[in-house]
Amino acid sequence: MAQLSEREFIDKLRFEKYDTEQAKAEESLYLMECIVGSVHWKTGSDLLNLLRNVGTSVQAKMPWETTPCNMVQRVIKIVIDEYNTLRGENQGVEYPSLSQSMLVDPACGDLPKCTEVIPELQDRVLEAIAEQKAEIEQSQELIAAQGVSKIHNDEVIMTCGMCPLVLAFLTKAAKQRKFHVIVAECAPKYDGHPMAKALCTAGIQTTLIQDSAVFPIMSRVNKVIIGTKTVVSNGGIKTFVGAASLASAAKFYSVPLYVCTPTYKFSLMGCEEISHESSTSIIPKGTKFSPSVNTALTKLDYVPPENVTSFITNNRGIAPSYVYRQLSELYHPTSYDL
Amino acid sequence: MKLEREKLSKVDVSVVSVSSGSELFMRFITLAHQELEQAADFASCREILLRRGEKFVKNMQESRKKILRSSTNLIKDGMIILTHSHSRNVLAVMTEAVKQGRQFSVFVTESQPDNSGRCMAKALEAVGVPCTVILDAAVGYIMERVNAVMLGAEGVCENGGIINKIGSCNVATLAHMKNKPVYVLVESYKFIRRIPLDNSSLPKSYLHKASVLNHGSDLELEHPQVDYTHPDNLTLLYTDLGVLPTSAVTEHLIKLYT
Repeated sequence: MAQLSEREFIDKLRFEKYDTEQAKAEESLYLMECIVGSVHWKTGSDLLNLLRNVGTSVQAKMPWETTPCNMVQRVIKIVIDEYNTLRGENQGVEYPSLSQSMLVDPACGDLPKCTEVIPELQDRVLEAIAEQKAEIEQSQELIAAQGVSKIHNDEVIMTCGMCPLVLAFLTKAAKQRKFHVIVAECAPKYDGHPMAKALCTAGIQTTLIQDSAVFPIMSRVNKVIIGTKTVVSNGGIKTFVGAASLASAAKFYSVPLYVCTPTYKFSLMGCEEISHESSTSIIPKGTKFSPSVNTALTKLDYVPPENVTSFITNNRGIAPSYVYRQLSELYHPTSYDL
Repeated sequence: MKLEREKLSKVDVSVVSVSSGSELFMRFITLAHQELEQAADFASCREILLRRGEKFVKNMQESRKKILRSSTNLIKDGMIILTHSHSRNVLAVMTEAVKQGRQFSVFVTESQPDNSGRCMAKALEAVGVPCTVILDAAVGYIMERVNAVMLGAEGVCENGGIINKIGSCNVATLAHMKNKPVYVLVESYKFIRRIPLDNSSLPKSYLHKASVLNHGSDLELEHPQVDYTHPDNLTLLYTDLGVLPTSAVTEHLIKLYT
């Protein structure tokens, strides 16, 4: 594949050339592989700065695209870990290790100084990035494999719109279980329609309903399973429009809400920071509106952590209150201020 | 040093934060295992302890700045914030937000018995924040107009609950009932290793001032100075260790004490 430049990547993101979050994650990893493989850096700190610049420019132009930023932060952690391993523990790294310092300082804003030139660093980082790529590719199958344990026979499951992960999750479970799925059509994209079609093709009994029918039907539902765009740092999710009302209805009837999400969607950002962006209106052609009517279309909905029961990730289910721990394993705390 | 701690506890200060701060201080300065083992004699040991002590105090003073870094984005234009009593952390955040040019207004509870809410209001007016003092009893009335609640804390318990000026429990519970977010701005040296089951399990040394305890009066008739707020009513804790959900406190406490 040809070398990908940062500008090409940002343009592709802006013009929505990527279908799925997985594609975005893979491309951003590829971009970083190009950066790591290039000759523009000598020390660990140079590399960290290059990576940080990528993250900052993506975040500045498209703050709602969290997946590329997450991958940047993941690679930053990989670089710092590999540097520490090659240098030996507790030696020369400015960031104080936990055993020595009492007051851990994650909000110090500065990446640790990795000033020594280590020739093996490049190879080790590239290997680790390749492992990360493999993890992303396998994430869909690993999540789908958990379907059998989460779904029982004769259950009624509700979902909303189209999510390839949820589709894989349900179709894999359908091979061993017999259950019923209710799909909300999810206006204005109406991607509930292709989802229902795909589920029918897989042999699952499906019912398509309008978004407004979600609340009355919820009393007959056993579980709600949805996908998401981002998992924010307090354990909530930022996802398709309609999720907030779906989650509130589920909470009202005490129906568990499961979110299928691979680890690259976990973001260090808080729920306040990812801005909602109104895209252009989707009014059908030919409709005439007087100029005094404003149309707005929000891009994302926020579901607070109290309404989510559990996240189904690559290898296990985790509770929203545990998300902060997952974040500390995935990312380095100083990379919060990208 | 233990004598100094006892002396401090006899003074009328916020016992919670002083005792947790001093305990962490003692642990920090004595836990420099590697350096102490390599030290040649007592004089250099003392040097090491002194240096670590200075570092700890410097960290404590820096911690408010770190809290500011993460919490100034909380206050947005047009927000109406409710705060309780006089918290220097909350005051610092609001001062910083005014410096950054944000427009917001504040309701401050009067916070009897010492009227500390009025001091807070005066300080806020001096900075240029429009604020109104309300009665402690008016919190339920005002809650529907408020966008967010910001509190300080004298202590953070292991389960994420906070110990703060009397009346905080009311504010947080009502806010939770009305689905308003409650943000607590607190430094990490105020984390304490205690999980109170409810308000009646708070120790007497926290509840009453030292002078009252020494006076020997009947404690049943004395008004408590602090109360305990359950973590369910709190949304997020803004600390110098980062923005923590209430479930993260126990993990950081283990890190601080080992």
